[in-house]
Amino acid sequence: MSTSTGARQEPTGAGRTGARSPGRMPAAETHRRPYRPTTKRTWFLANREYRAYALREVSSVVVGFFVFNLVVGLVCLHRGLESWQWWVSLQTNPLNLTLTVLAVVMSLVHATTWFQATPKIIRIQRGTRYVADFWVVAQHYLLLAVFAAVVYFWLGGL
Amino acid sequence: MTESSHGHPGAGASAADGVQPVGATAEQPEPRPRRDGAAAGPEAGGTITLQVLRYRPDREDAPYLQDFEVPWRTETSVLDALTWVKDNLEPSLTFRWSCRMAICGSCGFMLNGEPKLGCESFVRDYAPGPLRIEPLANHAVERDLVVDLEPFMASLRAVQPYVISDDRHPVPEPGNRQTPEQMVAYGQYSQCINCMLCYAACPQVGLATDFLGPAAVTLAVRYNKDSRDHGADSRLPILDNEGGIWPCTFVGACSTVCPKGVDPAAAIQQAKGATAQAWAAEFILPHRGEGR
Amino acid sequence: MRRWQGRTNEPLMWALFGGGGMLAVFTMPVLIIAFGLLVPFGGFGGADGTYERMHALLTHPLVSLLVFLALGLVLWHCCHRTFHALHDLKLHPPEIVRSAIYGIAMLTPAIGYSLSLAA
Repeated sequence: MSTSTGARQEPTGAGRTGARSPGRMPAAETHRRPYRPTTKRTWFLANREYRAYALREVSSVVVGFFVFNLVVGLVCLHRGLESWQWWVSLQTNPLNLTLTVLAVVMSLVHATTWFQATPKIIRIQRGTRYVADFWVVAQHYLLLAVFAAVVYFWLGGL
Repeated sequence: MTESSHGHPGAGASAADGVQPVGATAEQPEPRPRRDGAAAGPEAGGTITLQVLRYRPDREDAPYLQDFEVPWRTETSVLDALTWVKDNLEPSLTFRWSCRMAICGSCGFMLNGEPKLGCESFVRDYAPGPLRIEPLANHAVERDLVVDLEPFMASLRAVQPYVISDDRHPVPEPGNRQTPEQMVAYGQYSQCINCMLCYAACPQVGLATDFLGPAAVTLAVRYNKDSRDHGADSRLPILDNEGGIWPCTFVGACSTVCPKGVDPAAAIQQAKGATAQAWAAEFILPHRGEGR
Repeated sequence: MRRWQGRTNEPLMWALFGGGGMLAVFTMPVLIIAFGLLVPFGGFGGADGTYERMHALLTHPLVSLLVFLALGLVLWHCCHRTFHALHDLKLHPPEIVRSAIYGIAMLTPAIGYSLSLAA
């Protein structure tokens, strides 16, 4: 990178620590006094992209809470019909229902953001080009649909 | 549009849309449809207030914003506007620039809080203003719009950004040739111009000061994916490190702001996958990678 | 295994995170809608119908183990992101908090499976 105008830069003696802490400069005289801005704790509200990121991270926390719920349900299933009936009726409890509705929304946020990101990790090269992102994403939606169908038919339909 | 016979391979970016055939008379073409700034007509112009961050370490303890009224026309870039300020209003205003065509990577600024190259951003897109111009975020400010490059340069050096050969893979005769397929495997990642916009966009660079950062990791991946290179094992300790790739949480902003479409976010996630594989390989074969 | 300054166990943590995420996105939306909304309101034959369908298969010790492991992996994914969110909030918690967060992901399915075997 070339510099045209610009502050006269004194040799810093190289190395990241040297550059980051002007207090420990080599003996040579320097007039550098860099100003170091700090990241605010609320940085993730600063723009749309950061807010979307924050929502994505929070969505997995909500999904995590529903996993607890499912673990309890699975234990109840083992304990017998009465216990399972209790767990199923617990799901209609307003508090639990609120969590569920939130979890539905958040799990969709979670899944769609994940699907959107997969082409960055899964890159399939065919000759001198890559398989279009669309097909990688579509494949993931297809797998979601397959799992939904399996559960649907396993439980004997609505 | 030029016929292909007129184009020559070296024409590069200037051979884009609207180029007249060689020897054509100087008949002005119709005004081209604009890609952005549609609100501004072909004759657009006026004045805009630039709010430029000033920091003079010999005079002030903290930066402040200074307003400048600047005339602009359709083709005035933000870099042109800053140059106009320097030439006409404030000779001490300090900023970096060089090529004026988005290839040297010198003139990155925060424009209204967004990392952009000054040379390829146009004042018309920010009219009527005001336009706030600040130095790249997440960097120490040396003076006005100039930031300290040294930590970034150190990160680039750290990833061994060159083709590494080893004894088991001597350079073949008649030289290190590649197929187009082999080049495509890393081609996109080699387009980086080191403008540091991705560092300004990445919150983790600001939060974890020892993070290698998007461009440096991308450069490492670029060489790891190069068929001529055998340095992945020696780059592993730099990547698989607290301050290597792991501060990344895949916010993705680095790829959004990249002026060259390099997609550092993809490179870093692929590096994570490769590192996890290397970790598993060493777990299963404990002596793998030793003695290098 | 090679050692160097700054090497972490993050490759393992991240790989489990990725696996859990993959599992979560294919299964969780379906499971939440099915068992959180449809079954409680009478879908799939309600509590009695689903019990009849699922009890025999899901109470098999091996199947049950796999299901708890899968749920644990999803929980790992969630805990991993929770831990990194603390860093995003500029909190730099001590190691014990890290262990506790990932510990939740390991203990929850372990306790669940033990209780199920005991039932």
